[in-house]
Amino acid sequence: MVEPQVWKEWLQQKSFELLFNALVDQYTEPLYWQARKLVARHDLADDVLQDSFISAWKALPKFKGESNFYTWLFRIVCNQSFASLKKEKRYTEIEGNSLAALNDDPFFNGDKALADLHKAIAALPVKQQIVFKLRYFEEMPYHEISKVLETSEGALKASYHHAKEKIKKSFQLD
Amino acid sequence: MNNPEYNIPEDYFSKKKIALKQIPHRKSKVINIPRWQNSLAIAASLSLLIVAGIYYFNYTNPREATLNMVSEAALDNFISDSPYAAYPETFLWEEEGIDLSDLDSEQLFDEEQLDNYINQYTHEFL
Repeated sequence: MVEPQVWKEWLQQKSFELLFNALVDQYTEPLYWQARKLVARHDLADDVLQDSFISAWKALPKFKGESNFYTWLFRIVCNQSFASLKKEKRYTEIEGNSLAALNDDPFFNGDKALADLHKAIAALPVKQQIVFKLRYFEEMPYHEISKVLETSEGALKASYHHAKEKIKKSFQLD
Repeated sequence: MNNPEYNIPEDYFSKKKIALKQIPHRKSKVINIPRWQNSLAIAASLSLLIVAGIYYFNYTNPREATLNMVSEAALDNFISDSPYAAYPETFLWEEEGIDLSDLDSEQLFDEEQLDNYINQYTHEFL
């Protein structure tokens, strides 16, 4: 993804608000969908998007521009989704109600198979959930996931394999 | 991006972009500290100040606390005001002409006197 050169110039000139608004215009939509695929529910994706842009605004003066802006924002969205899923998992463990909320989400239009898949994914440890979703839904190569999650490719492959096996097992049990 | 499984509210992105662009204009949250926490902070600051002061004065003017530092007059006043001043042995020694400066005097260790003293003044506590 080629980004306008002027963004880096704004960063150097410390025109942060101008740059931030350009990032919002350009990347709100793709980042929302990334978050939505990771957390499934609209309300959670909305929160993740909001929190990600707040973090990005705070961190913008420290950003050195070594990667492109989208990669940087995508990493923030992944981390926020990770935190959101952790919080949600704690909540569902306490409530004993795994992902019933997805069925109640008025903005979820998937069939039963997709709902069941999300239910099975929600039972995985949070890191495995993220790895599985990035690989399965996004078809993201391991070397890219490795950059985003700062984990070795070998560990990611093992994580994906374990996740897949657990999901298969849960479908067999059902 | 087309995602038939996931819907979004109408005009979501246009409204969201407007909301997100407000982030730079947000003021950071101010948390009101309850009054008791204020008092606690003041007390902690004062304690710190006192400790720092003691440390500073000890550091700049190091002195060891010795008996010589206590003024004799203050010591006399303390003894005469304290209950120890009423202890009868001082009178006893004066009456019997024992020189207190002569600590080697055998009279101080006269066993009969000691027994009498113990019998006379300890039965109150038994």
